[in-house]
Amino acid sequence: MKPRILLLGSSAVAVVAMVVAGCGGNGGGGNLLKGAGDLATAVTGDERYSEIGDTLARTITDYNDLLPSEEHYIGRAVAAQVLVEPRYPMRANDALSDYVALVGQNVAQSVDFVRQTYKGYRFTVLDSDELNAFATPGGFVFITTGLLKQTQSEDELAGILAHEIAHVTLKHGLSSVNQSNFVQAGQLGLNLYKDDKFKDDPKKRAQFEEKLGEISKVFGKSCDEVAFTLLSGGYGADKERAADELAIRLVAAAGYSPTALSAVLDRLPEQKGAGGWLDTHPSGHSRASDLHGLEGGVAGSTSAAAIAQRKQRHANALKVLQ
Amino acid sequence: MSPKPTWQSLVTLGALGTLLAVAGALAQSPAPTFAPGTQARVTVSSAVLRSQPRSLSPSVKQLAGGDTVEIIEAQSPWYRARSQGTEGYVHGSALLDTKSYSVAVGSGATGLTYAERTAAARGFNPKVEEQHRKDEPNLDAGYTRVDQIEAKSTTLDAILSFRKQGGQN
Repeated sequence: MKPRILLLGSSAVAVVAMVVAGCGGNGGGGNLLKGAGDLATAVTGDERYSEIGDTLARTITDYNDLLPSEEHYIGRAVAAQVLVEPRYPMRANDALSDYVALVGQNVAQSVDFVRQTYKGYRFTVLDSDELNAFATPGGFVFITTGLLKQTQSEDELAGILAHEIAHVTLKHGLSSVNQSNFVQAGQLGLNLYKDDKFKDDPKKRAQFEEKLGEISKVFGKSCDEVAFTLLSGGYGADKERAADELAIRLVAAAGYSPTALSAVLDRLPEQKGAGGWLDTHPSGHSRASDLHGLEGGVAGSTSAAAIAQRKQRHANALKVLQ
Repeated sequence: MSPKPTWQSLVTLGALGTLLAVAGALAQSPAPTFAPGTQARVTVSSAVLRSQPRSLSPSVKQLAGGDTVEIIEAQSPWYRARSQGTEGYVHGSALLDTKSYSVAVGSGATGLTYAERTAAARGFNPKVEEQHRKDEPNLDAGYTRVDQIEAKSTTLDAILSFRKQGGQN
């Protein structure tokens, strides 16, 4: 049975406000441990690190306490897992990959309520017939050529990429991790990268290596859980609905048609068992049906002439897949 | 190499994680925490101080991770802020309040760069990634591709030109 997810409310904008608030919401509780700075200086031999000792007081309660850089490293590891899968060869740089990146960046960088990530969003094409698109924490977004071929316009493609941007903005990937992993990562003590300072003290170095090994295991486990959710388990219907709802608001704000996402979803085949979106997401028809009820409330500002213009360049860019 | 989790363990852990996530979400404060007159720190790798509270408005100053800004006024999700005498608008999701920043990566008194701070602070950092790569050498080719992806950026001019061609001015 799939776990039930928090119903995120009817206004995606309110959800974004909540998430953005969460970014600044690290309570950072706990009492500073006396002498922590001295400890950091002692183990690194570098006085500048004395203040980092204060971070012994840092507590991590859940994913909202992670720094953007930590989300980024999780995202990198999950993306690396995806990119060693034989079924997901990364497409070499070409006009198509540049076009997809531009459509994605057009949404990610032009809309005010997209959450900013540590190093920004990246959009990558995978040469796979599977119908799939997914995003790792931190903003590595992937789409297969199989799903690309299902799109009949740039506005539809923008809708799919916006759905993935929405998952990142709403931190759905991070929320799929057993949150006790993050608590444990916070409890594992100082992690100083200048471990060469320990060369002359085998005992301290061994302690450091042991701690690093432990936190690396927690890190690996967290990344495995995200990858499992992205590629096999799925986020569940409620989070998919929240991402769809936010996606049509994102595309409308970027100047795309808010009805294009439901159009491509309605076109997706229904069969399960082939992997990809068809297995990890609710049926395209039901998602499209849910969106139809929302589209009227989302103001679009694009003209039919502009949609046609974009449709033409989409057709030109995708010719290479025929 | 760490053993891969089983389906059963992941389903169980997923359900537990969801409950914790729900609890965490409910416990969140409802509004951004940057009050006028307070200071905040940039926690993304780089951010832009813009002339208007809009994503594509021109940059008045580039901000680096760790930079301090003084909050003048909230225009959610933007903040009118001042950085070393220059005023502009910065996105709230790029900022952290100074107290949380200090607890997470240090107070900033000793001249460490933001990259050095995040690398040395507890939690997930480049050293952990390095160890993870040692534990999982099969990921090497994947990380090489991730580095290629990260290196490929799209300029603001390219986006503006693309928008113009697509009738999205």
